[in-house]
Amino acid sequence: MAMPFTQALDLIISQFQAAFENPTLVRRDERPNRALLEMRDNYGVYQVHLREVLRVDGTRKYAYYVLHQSRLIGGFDNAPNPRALRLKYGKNYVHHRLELVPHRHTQDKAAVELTGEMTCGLFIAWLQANLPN
Amino acid sequence: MPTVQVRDEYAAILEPLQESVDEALRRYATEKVQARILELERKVQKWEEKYGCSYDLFAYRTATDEEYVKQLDADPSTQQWEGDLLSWEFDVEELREWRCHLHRLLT
Repeated sequence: MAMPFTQALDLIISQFQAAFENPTLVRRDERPNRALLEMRDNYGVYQVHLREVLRVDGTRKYAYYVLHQSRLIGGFDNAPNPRALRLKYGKNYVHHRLELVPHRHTQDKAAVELTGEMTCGLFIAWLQANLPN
Repeated sequence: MPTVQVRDEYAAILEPLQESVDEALRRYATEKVQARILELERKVQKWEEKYGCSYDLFAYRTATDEEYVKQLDADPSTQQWEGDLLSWEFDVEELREWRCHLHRLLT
């Protein structure tokens, strides 16, 4: 059974707060069927932007991005991006157009790579391993 | 059904009490719902202005039009479109739900 929204959002917030110095809670919106969380902070010269939507059916959508001077340095999301769907399904990707597909964007969104499902904790680990603070 | 206490000074002037409380709650709930709808309409309008289209069209184009996605990815102001898509979807779904609440209150 999925964790209640309040508990799940509290966990993400605590992970984000533990990893960054001055996190800003941009938005927290909990409803019976869905919840949205948006947080930001700086990480050295970078800006980190987290967005996550949880649903009562257990599905989740996320977007974790790192920016430098408004340009995307890297990031993870699971939107039904056609480039990512093409990588996953080849020519038949059109039959999966609305499917959530976890993927990573490289600098300036030059390339897309498929990934496993990401979480705030995994994103923070990736950030700390790949970008100097 | 929840039970609430009503102060004597209100009860004395609100007879018949149940009808008065129902009407007051209906008005207050309507006011709250309208305020929430207005807030969500502003949020949705901001998304529509940023991307120049409705949510439904944006979701359709980003799922089907690779050239459009390339344009979004190339522009720093829209590189976070996947994140915007999930926030925008949330706002649109909320707006639809709150409009249903309002409809129920007014009919």
